[in-house]
Amino acid sequence: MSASGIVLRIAVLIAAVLIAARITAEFRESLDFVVMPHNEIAVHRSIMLATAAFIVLLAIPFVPGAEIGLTMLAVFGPPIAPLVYAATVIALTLSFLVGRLLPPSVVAGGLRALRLARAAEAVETAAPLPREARLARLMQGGAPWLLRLATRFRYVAILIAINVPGNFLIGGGGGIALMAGMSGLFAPLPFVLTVALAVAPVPLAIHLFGG
Amino acid sequence: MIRPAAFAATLALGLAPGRPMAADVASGALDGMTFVATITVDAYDAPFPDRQIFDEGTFLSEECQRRCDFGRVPYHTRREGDAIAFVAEMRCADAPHHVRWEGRVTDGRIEGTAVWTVERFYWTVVRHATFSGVLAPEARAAAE
Repeated sequence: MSASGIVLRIAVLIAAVLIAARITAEFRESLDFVVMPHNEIAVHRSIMLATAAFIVLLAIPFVPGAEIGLTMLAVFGPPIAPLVYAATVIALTLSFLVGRLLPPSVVAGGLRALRLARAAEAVETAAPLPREARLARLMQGGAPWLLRLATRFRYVAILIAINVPGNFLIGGGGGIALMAGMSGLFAPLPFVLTVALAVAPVPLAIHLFGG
Repeated sequence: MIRPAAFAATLALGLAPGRPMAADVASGALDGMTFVATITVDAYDAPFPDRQIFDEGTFLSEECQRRCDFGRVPYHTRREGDAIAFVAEMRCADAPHHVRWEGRVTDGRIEGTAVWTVERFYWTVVRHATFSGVLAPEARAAAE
């Protein structure tokens, strides 16, 4: 890909994030929802429940969880963005640690117990592969250039993979983090820092421009 | 030991704890008064009915009590012309909610402002409100 192509894609990504921030602001205004003394305790309980569900669901491969975070951003706006951001990082770190610390057979068994056959199958397929092959599999749904990038700059590849539209095909954020953990090619701290950077754009844009 | 909130409230009224100034009125100057009031919170259309009770040196907002166990809290007063100004600060027992009341009582009427603050680990929300009301009928009858 040429330099101009990369610049164009980044510009499109930034425009999309800013438009999303604007849309959530409009949506919130149309809801006319205000946190008030008489509803704050109930709102707080709902937020805690939604955050817990968000973390668990986002951490599981092939399970849509990001929508919960987006809904929270749309309803509560900029003030909730840091919480959604932190929950996203926690969810992906959790998934990474499960992949890194637990034997694949245990992970696959757990996913099957939850009747998540597709996720279990992905783990079982990746388990017998060598480390590099697991990483390549992780990038399988992406473009060829992403695969080439992964072999040289794997943290950059993770950063991009998490943000590539359509990454649901490779398990979404949870699937990417789980496979990254299983690959054994990523150290925990750099991985967490990479994830923290990768998931920042949307909450940051809402926080800064979604008012 | 004086509580920090009470100390701040006292300072806000220009009072030094334990050293009444000439404009001070006696502690519990509003005791026995109950007001039927309305609270209007910014950014919210519907007003909240409230009964505000001064008794034994304490202030109680029944609306706050109903929403979040704030209880009775000490109030502090000073005279401002014909009015008695008061300040009270309350914290909810069940949630990190805090309300600071500043008001004036003149000729059987109460009015003032309240600032409600909630501090969660993920956000801090502040709402400003105004309130006004009149002596409750039973309190007025007792006074007469």
